[in-house]
Amino acid sequence: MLQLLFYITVYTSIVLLLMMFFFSYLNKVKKQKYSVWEKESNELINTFIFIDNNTVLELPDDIHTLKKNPFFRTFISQKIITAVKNFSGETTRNLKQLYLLLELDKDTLHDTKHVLGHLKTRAIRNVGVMNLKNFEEIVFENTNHKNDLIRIEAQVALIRLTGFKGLKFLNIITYPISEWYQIVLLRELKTLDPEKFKGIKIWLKSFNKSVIVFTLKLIANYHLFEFYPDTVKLLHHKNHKIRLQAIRTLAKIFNKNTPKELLSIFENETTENKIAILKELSSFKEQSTIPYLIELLKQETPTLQIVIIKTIAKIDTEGILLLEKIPNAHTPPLNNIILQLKEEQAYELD
Amino acid sequence: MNWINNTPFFILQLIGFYIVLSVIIHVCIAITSILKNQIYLNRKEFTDYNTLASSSNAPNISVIKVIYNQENTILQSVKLLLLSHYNNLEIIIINNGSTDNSLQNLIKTYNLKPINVYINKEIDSGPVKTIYKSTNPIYKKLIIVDKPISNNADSLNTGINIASGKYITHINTNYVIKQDAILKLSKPFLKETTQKVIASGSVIKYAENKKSATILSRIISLKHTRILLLEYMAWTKVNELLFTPGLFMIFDREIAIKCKGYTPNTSSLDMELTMRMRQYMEEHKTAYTISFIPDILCWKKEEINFKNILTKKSNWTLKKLESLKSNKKIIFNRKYGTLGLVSYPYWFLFKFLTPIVKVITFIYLLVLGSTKQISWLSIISLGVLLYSLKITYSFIAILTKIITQHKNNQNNSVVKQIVAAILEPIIFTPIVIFSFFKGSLQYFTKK
Amino acid sequence: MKILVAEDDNLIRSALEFRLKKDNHDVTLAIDGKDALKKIDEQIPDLVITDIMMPHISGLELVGLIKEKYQNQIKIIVLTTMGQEDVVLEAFGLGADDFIPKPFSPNELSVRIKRFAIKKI
Repeated sequence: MLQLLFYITVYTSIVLLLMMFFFSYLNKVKKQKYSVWEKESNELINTFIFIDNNTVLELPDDIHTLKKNPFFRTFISQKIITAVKNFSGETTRNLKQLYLLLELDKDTLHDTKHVLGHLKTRAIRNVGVMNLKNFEEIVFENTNHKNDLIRIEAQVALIRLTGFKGLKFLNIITYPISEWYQIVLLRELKTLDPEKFKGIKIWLKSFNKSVIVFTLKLIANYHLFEFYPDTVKLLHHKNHKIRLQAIRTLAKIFNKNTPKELLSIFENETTENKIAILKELSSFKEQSTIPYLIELLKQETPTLQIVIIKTIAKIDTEGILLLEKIPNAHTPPLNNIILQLKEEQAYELD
Repeated sequence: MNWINNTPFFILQLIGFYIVLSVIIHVCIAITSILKNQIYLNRKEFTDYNTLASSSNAPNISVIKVIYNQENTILQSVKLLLLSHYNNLEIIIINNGSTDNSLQNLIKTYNLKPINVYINKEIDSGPVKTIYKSTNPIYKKLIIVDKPISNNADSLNTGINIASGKYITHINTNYVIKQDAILKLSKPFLKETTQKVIASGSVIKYAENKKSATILSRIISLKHTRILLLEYMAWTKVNELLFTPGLFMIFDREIAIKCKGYTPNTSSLDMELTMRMRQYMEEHKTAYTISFIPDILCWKKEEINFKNILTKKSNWTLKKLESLKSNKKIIFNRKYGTLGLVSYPYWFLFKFLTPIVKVITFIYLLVLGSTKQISWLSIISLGVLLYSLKITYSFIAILTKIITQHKNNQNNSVVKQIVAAILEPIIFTPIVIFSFFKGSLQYFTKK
Repeated sequence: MKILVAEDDNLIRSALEFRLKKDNHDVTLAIDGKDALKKIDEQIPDLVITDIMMPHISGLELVGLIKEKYQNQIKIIVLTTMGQEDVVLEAFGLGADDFIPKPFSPNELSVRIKRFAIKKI
């Protein structure tokens, strides 16, 4: 057995040695080739980006030859995508023309059905970036793909193609949308002019908890006051993350009842949610909440006591005087917390 | 009496079995790791870190740095931290009783002013003298804590108590982090869905001076390549990134506090904390994961020479023994799932005990050879086999690096790596074995 | 005008060079902050256009170092994806003269640069 292992090992090391030199050489050749392509494609892209409005866009002859090479096509496709992502205005229209002239849309169509995940993802991403509207159906089909990367790229592409209507994938999505992907989607939406949302009511009742959280973020970001009652209902949802987002969203569409509504759920909330409620209360500057907050000081942990005291101080500029009058104000930890607050206020005034 | 005569044969069979099993396991791990690495590289193309860098939804992260007598280097370190490509950052510098001008230099450079801060001691930690913040809004991320000298764990725990970020990390004295390190390491926390991400880490590499690289530094570099490409990624697949020596990590602050932070009197703070956090999650039956980013995000500025390596490795053995002692309840314990049943035993048998196994095998074979129970030729063949296995494993790592990293590895650099692979068993293995015994001796004599 | 462009992305660097040369500016390119400082010492430009997220020395550090050494002799435009308020404030606090978030229009950049050229005259 060991003898067999010995022979296998020796042969393997020889093969590995040869492969090392081979791939090393291949990398060197690749690098040289790529530096030539780099120059050619930069020149081509620059020509198209900065072309005058009246000039007809045409491909140079050497590119006609190069464009038959599938590796070059992948190479220049990546370059064009980078350019579109970094530049705005006229330039992106010209780049799209370049993409079509090189017939890269055909590669994209082919790759949207590719078996290899990352190639499919790339194709779907390219559809969105290059705004290839006739691919909308294929993109929508993939918005609930089991591969999370394909899913998010399809969702982003759909938004790029159809604007806010692209959020229709929220109707069908079964997989959770992580915080990261929610950030990505919100960033994408930020680039669009706000429109009327269709579907918020449905999404707020989704069985997919992350869809509810995301919808609450939409309500917050776009100040959709008409969904205030629905948001208040979600303050009582059994999932703490949904409640947390509902708290944050209410603060963005608040009315005179909001402080009372937030305090009504305070007692049974998680620490994280309590801190969030206190943070929002401090921005409302509603004096009537102060007595309740002072009561809370007696029963809450030091972690929360610090936040409660800061909240009181922010609601009322005379808050510190009020705090110094409460029982236990001169004993630790309250006295230390109040002292810190006094210094912070003085520091901010400097 | 038969069994006395048959014992050598039986033990040799056992050794052979151990070797073959070890090879099979290493190959499986290597294949998994390579595949996972490739998946990571493919996915990297679609990750736009700019999105997170420019998002106000990025989680707050507190970076803690404990300093002692670093008046010449502290300003540069703090400057680099302030220039991180991450906005929601809080930088806490703990001046651990420095006797030089470290604190004064910081006060002067950053316009610091003492302020009163109530420290909510969620973890036990020592007293604090003064806390400083800058009067310049550009440096609002900075907090300097001046405290009497104490052990490192206590200083870090002070930092954790003061930290307001959702996640914490600490940077050692001679570490330099890449500007996008925190950005990359914070992403796994945002990607959690069904499993809670309790920590995320990446390998720390020695800062290599390519022009004056010695054979020893090349061997260490090769070792890092092996770990990065052929080991760690595989373990994250089964969610068992165990014994994270030399990882730069970010932790979930809340869980770290529940595990009472860093333990004094242990030499490997992060490793211990990670283990306790894992135990906590297992005990509370909460699905969790530790993410690993196979990118080099942090460098260690340290001279590589035999003396340093020997000291470091024996310290590592000491830490591992301490860790084994404090975590002995985990091994073969069903309560800890795959951690207790698979990864801990694997690590113990095929990683930790390897120096002892090697030495015992070597001595045993010498005895057998000198008593003519087996031929010297067989012993030499076995030696050559083991040597070839080691080199082949390194070759796999080098080849994977060449293929996946698309760098123009000039042929002379490949040759140098191959030479390092060939010399490693001769130069480095004795150091590893010697330091293992030195570290063990230190552990038992300390007891 | 003598302009130095510090940008680690090859494509953006080349596009900026193309556009700025079209406007008859004298353009030097740098691949990161370290390279930029070296080239500034060799030939002092009138204007530096820099990204923030670059290896070795970040754009913000570069802004600080340039203003410290050359004060108002060199104008600086920061061009970056990191568009949060904090970053903008920090850039201006360190002495940057203009801040353009990405994605950007090269034509708009060209017009902004002309402003500096006019002021110089």
